[in-house]
Amino acid sequence: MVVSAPNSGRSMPVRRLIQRLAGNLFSLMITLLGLLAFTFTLSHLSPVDPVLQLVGDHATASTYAQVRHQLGLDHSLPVQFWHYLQQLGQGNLGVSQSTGQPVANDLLRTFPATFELATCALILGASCGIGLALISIWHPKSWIDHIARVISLLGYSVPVFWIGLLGLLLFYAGLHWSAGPGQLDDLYVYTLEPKTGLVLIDSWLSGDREMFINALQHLWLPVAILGLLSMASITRLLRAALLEENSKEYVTLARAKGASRWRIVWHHLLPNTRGTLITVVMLSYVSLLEGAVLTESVFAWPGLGRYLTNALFASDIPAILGATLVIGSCFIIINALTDALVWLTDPRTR
Amino acid sequence: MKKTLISLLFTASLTALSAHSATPPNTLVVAQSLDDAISFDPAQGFETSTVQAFTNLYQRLLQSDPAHPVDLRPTLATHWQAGSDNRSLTFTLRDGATFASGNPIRPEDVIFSLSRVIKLNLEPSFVLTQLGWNAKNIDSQLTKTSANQVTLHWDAAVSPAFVLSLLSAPVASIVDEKEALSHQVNNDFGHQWLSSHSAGSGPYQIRRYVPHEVLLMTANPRSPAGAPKLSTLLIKNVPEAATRRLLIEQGDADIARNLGSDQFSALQHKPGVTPVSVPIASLYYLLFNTQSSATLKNPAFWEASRYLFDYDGIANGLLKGQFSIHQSFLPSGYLGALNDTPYTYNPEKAKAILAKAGLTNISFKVVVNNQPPYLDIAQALQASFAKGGVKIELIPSLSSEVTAKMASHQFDATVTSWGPDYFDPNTNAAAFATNPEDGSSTLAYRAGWHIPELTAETHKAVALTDNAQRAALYEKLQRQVQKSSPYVIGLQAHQLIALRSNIKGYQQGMNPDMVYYSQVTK
Amino acid sequence: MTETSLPLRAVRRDKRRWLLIIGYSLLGLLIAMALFAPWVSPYDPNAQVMADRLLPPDSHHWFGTDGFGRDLLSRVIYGTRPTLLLVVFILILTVPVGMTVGIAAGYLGGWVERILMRITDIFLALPSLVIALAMVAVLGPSILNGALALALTSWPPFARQARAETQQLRRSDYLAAAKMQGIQGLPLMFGHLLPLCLPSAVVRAALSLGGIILSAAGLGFLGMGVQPPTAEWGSMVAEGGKVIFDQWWVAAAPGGAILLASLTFNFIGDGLRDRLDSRHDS
Repeated sequence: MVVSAPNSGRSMPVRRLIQRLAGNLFSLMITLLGLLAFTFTLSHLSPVDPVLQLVGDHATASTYAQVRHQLGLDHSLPVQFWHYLQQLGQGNLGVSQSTGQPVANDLLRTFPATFELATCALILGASCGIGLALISIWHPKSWIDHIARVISLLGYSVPVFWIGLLGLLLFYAGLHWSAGPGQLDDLYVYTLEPKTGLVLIDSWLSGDREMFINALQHLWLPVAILGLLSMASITRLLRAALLEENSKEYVTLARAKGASRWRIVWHHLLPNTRGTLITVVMLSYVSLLEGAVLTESVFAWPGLGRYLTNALFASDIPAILGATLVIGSCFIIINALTDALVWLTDPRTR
Repeated sequence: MKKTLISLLFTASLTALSAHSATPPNTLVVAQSLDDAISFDPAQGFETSTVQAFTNLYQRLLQSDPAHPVDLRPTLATHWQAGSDNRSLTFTLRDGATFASGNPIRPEDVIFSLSRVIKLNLEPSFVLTQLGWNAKNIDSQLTKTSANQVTLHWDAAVSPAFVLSLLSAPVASIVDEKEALSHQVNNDFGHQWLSSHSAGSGPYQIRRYVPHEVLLMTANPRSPAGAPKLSTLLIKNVPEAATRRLLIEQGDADIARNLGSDQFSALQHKPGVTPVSVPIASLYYLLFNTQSSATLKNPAFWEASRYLFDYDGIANGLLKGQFSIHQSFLPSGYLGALNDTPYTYNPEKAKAILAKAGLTNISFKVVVNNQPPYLDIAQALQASFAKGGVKIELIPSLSSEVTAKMASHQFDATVTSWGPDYFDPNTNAAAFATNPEDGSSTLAYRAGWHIPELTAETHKAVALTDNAQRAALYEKLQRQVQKSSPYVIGLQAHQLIALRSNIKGYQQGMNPDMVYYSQVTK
Repeated sequence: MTETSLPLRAVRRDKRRWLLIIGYSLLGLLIAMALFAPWVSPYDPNAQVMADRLLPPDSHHWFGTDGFGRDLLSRVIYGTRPTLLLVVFILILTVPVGMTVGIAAGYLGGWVERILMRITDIFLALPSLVIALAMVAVLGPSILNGALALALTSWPPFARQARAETQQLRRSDYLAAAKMQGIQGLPLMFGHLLPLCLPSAVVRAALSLGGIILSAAGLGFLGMGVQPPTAEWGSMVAEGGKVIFDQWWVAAAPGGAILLASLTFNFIGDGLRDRLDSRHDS
């Protein structure tokens, strides 16, 4: 007979937390290194010749050799990788071959767009998802529960690029409820001061209400679609966890003792599924960042996903490495954060 | 009750957010794909987006007349004089011409612009190195002969007429030396800075460039060509043709470039939109690597292939409006172009030719760019060749991969396009009909085709000074190549664009760079 | 008193059966379409009829035609082949590898476990679609390469799960008995541990296949799917996307097929998982 109560005594020694995080930092670095090594090897296996890309079809053999030397391609692969790491340590990510700009600049420019999209979608998806899961558990086997189940299953199974296209068709071409592809109307493209790179914040800060509304008009459709997908997976997993918790003996006992539905959900189910909740939300965040590759292609969103897709198609190795580094790091950091948060909030895992 | 209230609120807020469309006044909004642009430095930019921009950002010593591209009009040079040995040209620069920065246009700027192309040695430099210029000798070949005159010398055996047409190419854009050098890093002649800024004398100048997103240009009132009619030119990157079509239909763009046939026909009767089909100088062809198998080396196979290409089905069916049938290596509109089209789709005849030559069970791989229209043409060819008993396997790849495979001779065949690099027949003749056997990558070299006589003839054509003679010689060369060569040239492209009906004054010529925005009004 | 828990269990049992029934029937339908495609499709999926381009759905072409005049229904039916083939390949590649790594790590412990788990973590940290895209861009588009690319980032969850289960089982009586009989090492791992870990691996496989189908379609959408003219749903959606504003059916049909296939495996996965959970409960 186990009655699990939310943990009391939140006297969490911060030092222990830091120790744990530091220990994890090392494994983080190793994982990141592995990621880089893999991507590096992969990029160099590409049949595309980066030298040819740069000098063009008509160059002479001596120009070709010269540029090849300049790019450092006449060394062996491990040596090239070591050079890359050295430069990375100095903060130099190289120059992109398809935009002609330093990769670091490109990443700084494109990452906020993806971040904004993913974060807004997550906020939407998580709030709707948690709400829906709670409603489900509140009224088990009611028609709301069924609908929640259907929505989440559909949202989980639908290809995001397809529904994105259909969404554009319906809401942009058909109903004109959404503005076109891109983040802002042309009028604002050159009047917007890019302070943070996050269009919503920048347009709010500029004080131009019209611009802010315009940004919302462009943002709402991709966020809605991504939010739907996010909501689907969150509802699905959270509902399953809540149901599982609900069927445990201590809950039966609590009910037998006359506890109200509210008390059971708020004081028993939720605290004990906190770990799953955090994990599920973070997992969704991670898949949103990764799914950006497809979404940004459909909505012409100037984010990291589109940058990476273009880089892959242009065989632009420094850009591919840089973008993969950022995405992979986000993955790793979010995973680590999830572990840390779960450990923090759930005493059972310690 | 609560639910209906919520849904009402939702609908109301959506309507409030309802988007309305219009382009800003005094701004020309062009929707096209900017994904190919790497650098806006004329010494590097060689893609469609970049060369088109150069026409509006910079000027050259002489340029093609928009209405008659064959005529070269004095632009930054008012007149020129060939030297007695036909190996030099002296240009007199226009009086009072200045760059956007206010700096006057001097012979030093001409020398700077041309020599940096050679010294930076990037992709478009081959256009000028044809003259025998290289990093070592360039400084002695370009001389300032007076305060407003500059003389160019060259060693190669080419006529002054040829050199003039080279100097009308985008790579010969005149760059503001003082401005460029003030932003120089590491002796790069201003290359890094010029990749995203402009320092020219064209009707527009770059105000802001976000790579692969938007190119924003504003008017240059000091331009010798005169200030443009619309003060702002915004080129936005819209990679999908379907989206471009939607933007033009809804009025979110003034000009939509590079539409597909289906989008084009959908726009035919839409109010407010004028679709335009512009003939351009791009040729689409099938190329065989003769070194990859005995069959592909066999002229009988080449001949049979000419009857297995469904010219009509592609030009008038699949990609209607985007192509016209053209079967020789000089596009219609060029000096000496051959417009005969003796071949039609005839699988039975092809089978007979193959049978007579004893060629059976033919199968080969075609590596092709996976973007439209290449992949569409390739798929159509796959089906049409199959009817003649020839099996084609398609390998759709990234365009960079196609280039790499061709360069390394690791392919059987490819379907690709060839666009001119400058406005002179030699640009195509050199590609299709010469193989100098010194590693220079012409198409004949890519195909492994050894043609010493044709090569000699083509080199002769470049040195001729009489246009009529040149035309006759080019016609002869085209007939030879048309009859027997490892290429099947089938289509000449048209660019399908759409304009809003209130747009007037837009001009476009045959070469990829000939896009003129300065006279547009709305 | 215990009135709420019993009906819940009953509800779940019903739902479980429901899900599995629907899931299995859909799977059967997909397999039948793939196997009997030549007999079921009304037209040759690769037959180009330029005169019939982009026709809307009608009695001749139930789903309409695409940009080359090819019948969409036939192409959708034939499209089940690359999808199911991919599924099979991925299963063959991920499950054995993942389980072997996981069981070995869980059983052998020590530095073997640490190294194996480190490798697993590295692959887990790779963004799967991005890596798959990069690999297919390098290796070239084909079903096998696509499967290889997706399998590369799909095996870690199996390894983790197998390891966790193995660690739990290590302390069980069943294994203690086996050890007393002298069975250990490889025979123990493969003869005893493997069968015990298999059920949850099957469930996990079913659950993840839905997502894998979406990723594979995503590859096709970006142009890295199978070679044309093979009918593949993802690239069909991409082609349809070009004409979607006028001929919406060209993209709708294959997209719907992707949705259906993904749903099928999600149904099966959910159903199996519920079954497994109740087995654990009781």
